[in-house]
Parts: sequence; C-alpha cells; structure tokens
Amino acid sequence: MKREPMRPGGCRSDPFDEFVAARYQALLRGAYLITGNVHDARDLLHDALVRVYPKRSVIRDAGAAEGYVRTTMVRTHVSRWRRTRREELTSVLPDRPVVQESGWDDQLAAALAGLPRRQRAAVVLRYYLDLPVAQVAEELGCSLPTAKTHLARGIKALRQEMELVRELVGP
Amino acid sequence: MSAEAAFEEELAGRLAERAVWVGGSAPLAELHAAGRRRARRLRAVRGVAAVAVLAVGVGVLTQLGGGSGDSRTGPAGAGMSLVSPTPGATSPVAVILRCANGPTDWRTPGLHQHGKQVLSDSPSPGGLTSSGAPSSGVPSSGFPSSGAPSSGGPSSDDPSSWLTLSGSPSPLSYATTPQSDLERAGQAIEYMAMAKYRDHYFGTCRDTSTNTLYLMRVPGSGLDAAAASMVTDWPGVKLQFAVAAGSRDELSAFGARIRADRADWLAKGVEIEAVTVAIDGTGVVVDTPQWQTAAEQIVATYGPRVAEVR
Repeated sequence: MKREPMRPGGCRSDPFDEFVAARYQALLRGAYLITGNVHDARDLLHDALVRVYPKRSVIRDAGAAEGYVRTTMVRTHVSRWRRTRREELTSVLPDRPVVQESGWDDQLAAALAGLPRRQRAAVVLRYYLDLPVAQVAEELGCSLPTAKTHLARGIKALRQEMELVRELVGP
Repeated sequence: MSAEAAFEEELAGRLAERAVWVGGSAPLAELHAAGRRRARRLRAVRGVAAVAVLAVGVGVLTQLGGGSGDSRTGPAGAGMSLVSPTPGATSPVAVILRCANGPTDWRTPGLHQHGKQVLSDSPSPGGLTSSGAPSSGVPSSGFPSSGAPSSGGPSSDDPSSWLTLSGSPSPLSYATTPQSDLERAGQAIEYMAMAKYRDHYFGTCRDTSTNTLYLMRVPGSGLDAAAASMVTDWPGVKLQFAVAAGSRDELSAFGARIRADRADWLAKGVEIEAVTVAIDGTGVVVDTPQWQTAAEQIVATYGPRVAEVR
C-alpha cells in the first residue's frame, strides 16, 4: 500500500479522504434518487466507496474518482436488483425503523419508483447530474443506443405518469 | 420551447428539489476499516485463486508428463525427467526415463533428508557402496559412456554387467539426428523387452548428451543379445546394461510385501512411512523415521533387495 503523504503541518492527508469529504453529500443525493430510499442510498454509496478504496492508489486524477464511484454505484445497484430477484418472498414483514423522508414531490417519487432500475438510473444521471448521454451509457455499462432507449422510455413513462396525476388532481 | 424540452427542464428541477434535503457526513473511519477488510479479502481470494491455478497446472503437467501416480516420479536427480508411457505398451509400467549420466544419477543413497549414508556395508546386486560409486553398475558422473570401466566406474565385479556396445550402420538406419535415433532405439527396445522379457526387464533410460541408452535388467536372459542386435539399426547409439535387483513386477510385489508388514514393524516401534521401488532398479527404498536404528534390522529381515533405508 502506498504511504500516505504528510502535510507540512504534520497532519496526514489522503486524497481519497479529501474527495469523500468533499463529494459525499452530492454522491449521496444521487444515490438517493437512484434508489428512492435514504437508507438504501447510504448503503449503496458506502458499498461503492469500499469497493473503490483498495484501488484508490491507482486513480491518478482526483476528478475521475467521482465518476469511478458513481459508475460503481450504478452498476452495483443494477446487480443488486438482479440479486433481489432471487430473494425469497415472505409474508411476514420485518420491523422497520421510522423513516422521515422528504414529503416533497411524492408524485415524482411515485413515478420514479415505477421505472425499471436501469431507466431510473439513466434518468437520474442525465437530468439530475446533467451528464451527456455518452457518459450515461458508459456509467450504465451499455451502448449509446441502449442508453438512449433507456432514457427515452424512462422520460416517456415519467411524463405519462405525471400528466395522468396532473389531470386527476389538477395543476 | 417544445413540450418535451419543457418537461425535461421541469424534471431536472424537481429531481434537484427532491434530493436537496438528503445530507450527512462521511463516516471515514468506518469506510477505511471496511475498505481495508475488502482489500485483505481480495488479496486472499487472489492468493487462493493463484494457488488453485498453480495446482491445476501442475496436475495437468504431471498427467501430461506421465505422472500416473507411480512412485518412481519422486526421486530427485540431475537431468532426469519422466516422459509419457510408451504408447502401445503392454503394461503401465512401461516408462521411459531420461538420465544425464546413467540411472545412478537418479538416486544417491544417503543423500536423502538425513544427509548420511545408511546402508554403507549392506550388499546389493549392484554393489551399493558408501563411496558414492554406482549402485547398479553403471557409470556415474564423469564416467565415459562407452568403453571399459575405469576409476569412478562400476563397483560390480561382474564384467558382464558392463557390456558396452556401439551400434554399427545397417541398411535400416534412419537418416535422422542422433537424438531421435536414441528415442527410436529406446522405444523399440522398450517394446521388445516388455513383450518378451518382462520377467527380467526393469527399465531404460537415455543419456542424450552421450547418446547412450541404459538398459536395466536382471542378467541371465536373452534380453541382452536381443537388445544388442536391435540397437545396431541405429548407428551411433551406444547401449549399456545395468544390473537390476529384479524385474519391475518383482520389485513392486516385494515392496507390497514390506508394506503389508507395517503393523508388525509398528509393534516393534518402527514406523514405515513409505516403500518405493528404487528408480535405478537396485531394489526398494524404505522410508522410516527410525532409519538410524532400524536399517540393519529391516535389511536383515528382507535381504539385499532393500536398497536403502532412509
């Protein structure tokens, strides 16, 4: 393992720590929109950071670290979804903590929850993080046309859902 | 602005609003600990995978190299390698060995882990001595591969065991390299010996540096004459005979007999760990932790075909 550089003042500085401290909140918000649940978001982000931790010494560009963590996060989320499909169903609900989540825009939350995970991740990457479509494709691990398809279908579904609610409830 | 673009703009704003309340500080200490655990796990997994791949590779190479589980793959010796069992041989014991300076290079009695000569005075068919001279009457390092024995040569007093022949040209000779001639001669003699003289034949080995084929056998059959006649088809290939304590079948059966007595020896305080046929045909090798005290007793019980107790 690489020895961590020392600052002139004597306090140890790890670029990875600095990156995490600086970008933790932004990454957590992205994870929250992707998962739809703050606990799952923390779990997902921490999992991604732990995966990146052993490789932090080979990430030369500090700016690339965020993309690296985000890609890990998105792909882990997709693979988790695959894993979840193999979970056994049970009629007994486990005890759950009281979650005080945002009450804002439940309409958007419901519409996002109805999307398949890839489409949801594509929408968040494109419209929340404002990434170009090519980068969305790269972070999803798919081709550019596939990413465009995910985005188009996601937007279409969201629009239909939200307009339907708007018609029912009114603007 | 189109309706689609307006929706996309609205969506971006609403997504930002939806996420704005989420916050928290990074648990750096926990992340470090978890990251280190993961790094250790990755290293362990890679290590195990590397060992597994190595084990599989060694297994494959062993199988390709003729490793049929025969105990003769074990002995260490300069220039020795075990090649595939001869195709078409009538028995799985048909193994051709390569040797740099004759069969004795394979096994140096007393140079096992104990680093001491064990059977310095015990008789053996090949004249096992403590001086490190060849145990089966074939030259050790430095001894000429053809011609009469000289200093450093065989300790056997039987000149017949030192018959050295050189092949003479014949119409059947192959226009190939000396080494391939050696291979061909070895295979042909191996086939013939296994088919016709199995009761006397122990094995062959080839010294490619001197183009010499060593034939280990129990003297007293027509094998010597048949092999000498056969080798003349490959000019340049030298044939040397080495005395074996028995045919391979005989020595295997002899080893099995000693193995069957393990319980009796254990009752006497001697733990016999392994019994293997000596690769140079001088007998069997008995491995026991009590080699210093039990060697004489074991040799006295089973006779001179116990080549070494170590």
